[in-house]
Parts: sequence; structure tokens; C-alpha cells
Amino acid sequence: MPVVRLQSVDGEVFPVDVEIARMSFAIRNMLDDLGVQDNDAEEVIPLPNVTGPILRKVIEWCTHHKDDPPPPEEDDTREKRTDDIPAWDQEFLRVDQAVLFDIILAANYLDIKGLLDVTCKTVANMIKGKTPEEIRKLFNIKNDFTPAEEEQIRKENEWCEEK
Amino acid sequence: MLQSLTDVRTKEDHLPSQNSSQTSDLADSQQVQIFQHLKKMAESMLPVELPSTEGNTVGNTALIEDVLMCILRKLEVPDLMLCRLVNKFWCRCATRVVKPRTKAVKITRESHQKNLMKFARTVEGKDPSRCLPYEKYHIDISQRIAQADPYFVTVFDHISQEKCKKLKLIFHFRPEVLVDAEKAAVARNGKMSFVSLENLDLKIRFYDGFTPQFMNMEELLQDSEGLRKINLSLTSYIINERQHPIVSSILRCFTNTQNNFRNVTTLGIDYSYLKSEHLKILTAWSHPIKTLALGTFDLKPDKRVGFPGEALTEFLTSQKDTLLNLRICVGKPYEWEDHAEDQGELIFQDDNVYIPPVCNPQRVTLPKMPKLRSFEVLASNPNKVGVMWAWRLDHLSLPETFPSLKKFSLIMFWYSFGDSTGFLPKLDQPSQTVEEVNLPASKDRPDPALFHRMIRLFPKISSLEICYERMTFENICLSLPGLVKLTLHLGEDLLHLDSILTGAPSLEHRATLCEKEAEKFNIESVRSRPSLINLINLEELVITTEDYYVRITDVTVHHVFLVMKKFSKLTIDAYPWEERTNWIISSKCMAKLKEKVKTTLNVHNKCYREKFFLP
Repeated sequence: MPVVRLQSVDGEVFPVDVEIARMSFAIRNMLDDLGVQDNDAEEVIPLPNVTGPILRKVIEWCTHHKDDPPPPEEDDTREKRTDDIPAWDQEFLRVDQAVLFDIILAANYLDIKGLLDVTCKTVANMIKGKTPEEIRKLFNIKNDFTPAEEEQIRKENEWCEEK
Repeated sequence: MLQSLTDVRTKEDHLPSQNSSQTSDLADSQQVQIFQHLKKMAESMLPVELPSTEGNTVGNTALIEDVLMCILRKLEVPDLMLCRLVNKFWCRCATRVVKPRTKAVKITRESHQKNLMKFARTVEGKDPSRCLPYEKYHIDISQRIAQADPYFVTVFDHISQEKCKKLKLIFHFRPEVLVDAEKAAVARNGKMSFVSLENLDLKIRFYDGFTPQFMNMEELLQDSEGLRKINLSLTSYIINERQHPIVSSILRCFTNTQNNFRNVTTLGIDYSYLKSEHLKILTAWSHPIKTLALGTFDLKPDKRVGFPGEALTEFLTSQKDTLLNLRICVGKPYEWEDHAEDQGELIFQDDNVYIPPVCNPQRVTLPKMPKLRSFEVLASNPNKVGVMWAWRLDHLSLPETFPSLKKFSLIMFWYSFGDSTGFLPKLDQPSQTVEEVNLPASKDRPDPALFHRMIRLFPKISSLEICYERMTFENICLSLPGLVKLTLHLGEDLLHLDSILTGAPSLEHRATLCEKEAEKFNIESVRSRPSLINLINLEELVITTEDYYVRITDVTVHHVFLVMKKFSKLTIDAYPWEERTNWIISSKCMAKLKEKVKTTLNVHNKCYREKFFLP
């Protein structure tokens, strides 16, 4: 199986099957645009926004999911489900919050839809049912609203009804 | 084969060596070039610096907007509302996510909770395009007011600024308010504008003293290139000859400035007493209309305000090559307020019978419409023997007039006369193109001939909407195995729903069986009639009801819905006459049902008949 070599920002190089690397649409586009064929793809692709440990996790996820069907297109009308995270993924994402967010950023950066989807669902599950204050506490977020601004948002919310 | 994740080599291992042999110089040189290409491409495609995330930190990690939006998209609206309160960055992202998922904000003067003043104070000074979690408005000022209302002016000024996607205005006030709203716009150095408006649903109730100052609308809509749909509903409870010229002026206002509406493809016009002069004005509309609905009250032709036949033909002929959907309504299918007559507002005498024009060969000839896909006729309150002949659609050949027709609807309300064979056209030639048929007539008068005529007319039928009538329903269950979707209007018969769907006598399983008992229940021993399970291809069932109590027992779930192999969608559409709270699908095995069948209960806040009217 031909491989490409992915280079993290801290200089680590990861040889990866081309088919697995192509799960990242960013890498896929690069390879396609450059006309790199599978049999001559032993090149180093620098990924200046991903650290070695995170890239390792990303590759691990891609390897496990290499035979998955492509994820469906985002559809606003589709029922929002976050309770369908596979057990393996749940275990895989049992990591520090900082690592989880780094994986999300990497998935977004590399355009790996499946990984982005499952990581975002994981965070969404952490948010569900929490008050604004609990969310702030959970993610260490500073509240930059004045009391008047906060009151205004609450007033606006009163007029919202779900379709 | 992927190498082990532990088999990590350093960058230098893989960079082309500077000391390689002469024979590999060329290959090395190519490799260096490719690497440089890749690096350049990576840097251009994958930005070295992440977008500015000042203040957008979660823990120690900076979250870019796209990522937070991606997370928020997984949340439901109530959680998103709370996320708007976290901080400014979260508020901005959550607002963008929640906006398309919220209903139109409905503002009524009469509501105690959500009144105009409260909303005016909420939106005053806010930029409607950026920070509010809604973009659609339904303004219903249903009380007559003596003078322009400052709160309404504030709201109107707000929604007319920009980015208001959908606006449904119900006017029942003096239109001088528009002038005041315009002054307010000028005061904030702006102007009233609906440049982003896509859908204008304008409803005006005439009353004594209504003046044509409404013409300000002409200026208001002058930049409405984004408009796709216009519904004009002009209602009057009192026959007043002075109103007809006003309606003409309003229609002329739209046709004279039709270049503003060149992208409008859906047009609905409903006026209580639509006359020839009004339709002749509409004939000047030169832009192609794809969906057209016309409606009027019922009045005798000799009062010269009945649905004008020749002018209708002329108007339809002007649009015949582009029309895809045509709906004609005679009689009032909604907002028929029982109390209005008592209050003397509504004039509706016994001899004011309606005459559906398309059913009357002497008055209307429909032009051939080669592209028309949907043809709907709505009629209500026919109560005269003398005009029954006029109902028949004998003259209308569906295959010839509408060669591409897919959907045929003949919708009758308050039908109270026995000659129900007039429901369908007596055609020699069946339509081979029609797949969807809607015949939700009155349930009070079963029509035994309906089923046989329907089968003969529409042999390709796959979707049917019909009012429940026992014999007709049983015939359908026996003879239409190709039916994929069935919409059953049950009126207030939901107490017998189980019996209708299972084919068993109602008393046999109205007892509240527990789930296990329901599974063991021997339905075949009591089933006495054809039922839904005969429809082996049925995928979707829609039950429409005007009752307030929906009762489906475990027996129905186990012995009907769960045994029908292709059945996958159950929708209950409730149009309650009065507001009630006890909407129940009283099955104990809903969980099992939902595993197989997508089940939805929709409680609508409008009258059942209203759904059929303007598009």
C-alpha cells in the first residue's frame, strides 16, 4: 500500500497509507491538485497547525474508520442526534478537554468530516442541559456581557419558538 | 499497510539527502521540488495562523468560529438559547445557528404575554440583520385602532430595515401607520425597505372608513427584487360597492410596478367579491407565474360579483404556458367565523350559493396548460339543488387540458346535499399522469360512488387524501394495493380510530390492554372488515383530525403498524376547533412504534380548511 508522510508542526513525521490520508479532504485536494499518484506519493506533507501527539490521535481515528461509508451531508432539517456516538469513539475521545479541542481543531483544519462530527457531538453532549454559568465554568469562559446586555438577550430569547 | 504509529521517524529521515549519489540526483531533485510544492500548497491551503480568536477561548484552546458553529449545530433550540447567554462570541455563533430554526415571531395586540409593546421594547435600536435570533415576523394587528400606534411604528420600522426574510402582515388598522413608520425611518437616517423580503403575505380587512392611503405600499415595495411570493388577502364582511375600486387600485399598484416583482413566481389573490375588473387588471401581469391561487366568496352571478368566468379564462390563458400549480377557491375555506353572522358582520344568505366556475361549462373554458402539475378546486357551502348540475366537470378533460397533471384535488366543505356523484368529472378518458388525488369532502355525506369513479379516473394513483367513510375506505383497502401514501381525514371520529385501522369492531380492543396483552391479542379472530394492512405498499399514513384527543392503542400498533412491512411514517395533523391540552397518542408501546415508524404529532394553530388556501 503506498504511503504519504505527514509532518506535524513539531517535526514528527508519520507514514500513513494514502487511502487513510485521503480521508482528510485537505490532504486529498493537495494530492489531487499536485497530481501525486498513489504509487509516487512517498512525499512529506507538512501540517503546520497540528502537533505530533494530536496528529497521532487523528491517524489512529482515521485508521479505525477507514472502511466507514462517507458521512451524510449536513442537513438542517435532519433530527439532531448526539446519542449515537459509537462505543469505540466514546472511549477514544475520553481525553483531557484540551486534547479534545485540539482534535476538533485538527479535524476542522484537515477537513475530516467524520472526526469533526463525532468530536463536536461529544462537546455538544457536555453542553446539553447546562445553564450559561455552568457552560462558562465547564469551559473556563469569561462572561463579557454587562448585566444589561444579558437581560437584553434574555428578552430576545423569550420570542423564540422552535419550528 | 499503515506503518505502526510508533514507527515515527524524524523530518530529516525523510527529507531528500544532500549527499545522495549522482544516479539519484535527478530523482532527489524531483523530490525536493515536490516537497517544496507540497509545503507551499499546505501553507496556502492550510493557514499557518489560525483565524483571530481573541476572547474565544475554551479552556486553553482557542476556538475558531467555524468550529464552535459546528458544535452548536448539534444542539436543540432550547440549549442554543442558553448558549446565547454564555458570552458575546458564543452569542454571535448561536444566533446564526438558531435563526433558521425558529418560527416566525408572531406579534398580536390581543395576546397578553407577547404583546406589541413588549416586542417593540425588545427590538428597539437593535440591528435586525445581525443580533436577533429570528428573521421572520407575523404581525397581526387584529384590533381596530383609531390612530397610529407608536409601538407598531417601532416594530414596523425595525422589520423594514433589512434582512427580514419572511413577513406576514395582517392589516386591520388604519394604513396611516405606514406613513408614521416611514417618518420613523427618516428619523433614524434610514428608509423603509423590504429589499430582503422573500414572502409578502398581506391581509387587509376592510372596514368603513378604509382609505386608499394604502398606496404607500407602492413605494415601500419598489426595491423588492428578492420577493418570490405574494399573497394578497382582502377580506370584507360587508358588501360595499365602494371597496371594489380600492381593490382595483391595490391590484393596479402591483401590476403597474411589476418590474419590482419580476422574481415573483407564486401569486395568491383572495378577495371576498372578486370581479371581472380585478382579473382584467391581473391579466397585465407579464412575468411568468408558476403557482397561482385565486379565491373569492360565494355570490350569485346576478349580483354581478360572482366569480367572473371570462375574465378568469383570459387571465389563465395569459399564464397557461408557465403555470405549474393552479388553485381556485370559491366560497370561503377558512376564517369562517360562526359568531360573525350573529354580529351582523357577515352577510351570507341562503340564496347566496356558490358556483365553482371550472365546473360550469357555460362560464369558463380552461385553456390547455401543458406544464400544469397540480390542479385544485376548493368549494364550500353548496346548498342549492338548482345549481348541482353546474358542479359537474363533464366538460373538463383532464388528459387534454392538463397533459402533465400529477395532482388533482377537489376539496369540498360543508357539503350537505346528496348528489355526491358530482364530485368528480365524468371523464371518458382517464388521466394516466395523475398520481396524487385529494378529495377531503365533508364527512357528513358519504359518497358511495366516489371510490369507483376515482379508480376509473386515476388508475395510476399512489397518494390519496380522503375523508373517512366506511364503505369507501374499505374499498380503498381492498382495491388500491399500489397506494404508497394515504391521508385520512377523520374529522372528529378519532374515538373509533383503532377500529378503522384494524378492521375489528371498536369494542373489541378499546380496553386498555397492556403491551404484552396487546401482542397476544388475536386480532384475526375479531377482524371483520378490510383494514389498513391490506395496503401492502403503504409507506405513509397521515391522519388529519379536528378533534382534540388522539387515541391509538397498543393493539393498533402491534397488529397494524408493526406488521406492515413498508410502513415507515405516521403523521397526525390536528386542527383543533378549540385550544385543548390533552393531545395523546395513548399507546403504551410508543417506543417500539418509533423504532420502526417515524411518528409525528402536529398540532396546528389554524383551521383545517386554512391549509388549503393561499400557497
